[in-house]
Amino acid sequence: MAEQHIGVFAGEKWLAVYKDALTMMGIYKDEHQLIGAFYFVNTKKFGLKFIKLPPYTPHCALFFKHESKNVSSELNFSKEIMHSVCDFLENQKFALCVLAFPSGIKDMQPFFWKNYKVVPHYTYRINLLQSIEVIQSNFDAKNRNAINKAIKEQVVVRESSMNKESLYHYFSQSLHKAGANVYESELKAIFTEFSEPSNSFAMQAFLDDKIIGTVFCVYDKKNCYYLLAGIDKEVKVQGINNLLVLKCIEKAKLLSCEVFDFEGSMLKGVEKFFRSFGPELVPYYTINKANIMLELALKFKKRSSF
Amino acid sequence: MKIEIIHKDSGYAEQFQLFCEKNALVFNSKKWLDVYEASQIQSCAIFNKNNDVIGCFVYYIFKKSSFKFIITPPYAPHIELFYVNPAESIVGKNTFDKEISEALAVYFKSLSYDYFNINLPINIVDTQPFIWQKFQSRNRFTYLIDLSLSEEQLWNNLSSEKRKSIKKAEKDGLLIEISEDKKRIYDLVLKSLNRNEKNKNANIIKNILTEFASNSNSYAFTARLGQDYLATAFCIQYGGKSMYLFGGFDDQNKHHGAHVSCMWQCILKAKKQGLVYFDFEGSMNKSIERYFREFGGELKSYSCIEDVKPTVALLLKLKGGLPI
Repeated sequence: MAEQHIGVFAGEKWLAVYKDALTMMGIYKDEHQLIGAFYFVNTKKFGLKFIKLPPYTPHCALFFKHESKNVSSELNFSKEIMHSVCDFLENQKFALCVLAFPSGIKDMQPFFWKNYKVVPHYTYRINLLQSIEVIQSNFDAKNRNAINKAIKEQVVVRESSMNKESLYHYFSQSLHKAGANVYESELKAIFTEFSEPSNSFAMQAFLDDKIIGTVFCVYDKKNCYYLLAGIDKEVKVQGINNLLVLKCIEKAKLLSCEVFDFEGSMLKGVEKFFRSFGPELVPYYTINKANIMLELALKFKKRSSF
Repeated sequence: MKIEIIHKDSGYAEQFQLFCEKNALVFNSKKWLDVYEASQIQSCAIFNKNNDVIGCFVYYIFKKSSFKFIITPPYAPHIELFYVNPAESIVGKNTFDKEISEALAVYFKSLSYDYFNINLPINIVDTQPFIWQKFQSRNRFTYLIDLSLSEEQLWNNLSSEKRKSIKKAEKDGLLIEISEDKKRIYDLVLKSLNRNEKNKNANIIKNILTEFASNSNSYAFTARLGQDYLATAFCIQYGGKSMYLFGGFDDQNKHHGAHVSCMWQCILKAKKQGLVYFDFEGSMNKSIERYFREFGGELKSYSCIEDVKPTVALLLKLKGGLPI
């Protein structure tokens, strides 16, 4: 049921990446009828309890079914669910809670009323039901030029033939080089335990048969998500990542996905890069709450979130 | 792109007014701005490189206990940020939207204030430039009723409690009438505000009713039982929608169905006038939100941009409320 509503991030294979670290919660109607679910990770740091998203997962996968025909009852029901999720989290007695919700979840008022900071984040999505010509015509001219330059410089993109272990090492090193937080065991499990042709693919850019960039995407029946990217910054050729994204979009279309999701970024440079592909901006919400001492500290360190 | 405050004697005042009229803007219009103290309202134009007005917005300033506050003008739902996006491509449009938000974020950051809190119109989705300028972007919610639905569908979308209240009002002989009696509307609204200790801007309400409101931009319904007036609901019309701005009831003459029936008639009138949406203008107040929710609208979020200096934040936390 979860996979049907949420897709790849609620599939058994994805959830298995996190082993026992994941707390999966069912939402029940009349105590017995399972109508929804969500998940999160419980961790401890400096003796403090943190509730957060599993690494490399975009949201907590909250979904629920409702059967009301009356609009007002439907709204009441959705409010009730959000109140229940909020109350449940409150009872966890956490020091810090940071969770993101799927973009379809709009009603965050119950969290606002419990003094959570509800902050919008953004992702970009391309409608893959359009032809590739239309999709490309929506690209920024500079983006198209960059792609053409890469092609002119003899950059070739093809699907990765690396084995799973090598791909993991490639992205681990690449993320370390970029200064990103690397969650080694989860990253390794994504490649070695989760990834298979039916749920993911990696596209690689080559220059003179040398790998100069790789993008890894995961997908389900509807969406293809741009999950990880690594570029060899020593290669001074423009447009490698642009060409890789174009090839990923083409591949996602071949796989009959309807949406290409850039998985968002609040980083200015990355946002600009995604925007140059002419996608639609889609907001989704995160909730943030910390105990008073931690909140005071975070007010200075993460001002926009606290 | 540049942003400039438009004063009465500004060289751009006429161009600005024409822009507002051409685009049927309400909260930037002279008629609306006149409901505020001139010194407290700031109307701004956005210019392109050729110095043509391509957009505008408005905000409200006041001082309290030596602190400076910048907020959405009271009783306006948002700062009515409006602009003409000249781009044709999707990427061009997105980039222009980003540039406008960036220009606004930089402009607001350059102002001196202790408390900053403005609402953006529902169609302004991208608040990243504000976040990058160290503002806090928060979401607020309103309910919108789609008036393309038939009257029967609208009725069926109400909660059973709302339907019962309306039927009860009818059964008890309440008369729900369109009203142009500004004083009566004002008295009923004021009664509710006094009861809730939220009457600080009563003069603005008075001005909205007496100076702004006309048959072409607003309407109100009142509920009456014999000679006693029980409740009222006042709406303004703009941009293809009707928006509930304020209302009230007499707690000495309470009837469960009085205000609900006024609201229901406001919705029906908006539909009859061919408007597209009925907007409840949102509420983050728990009990009011529930009251609105039961009319069966669609929940829509809009953005609120905030920046509160630590001293004011602490004082407000102690006081437990907003400054206005």
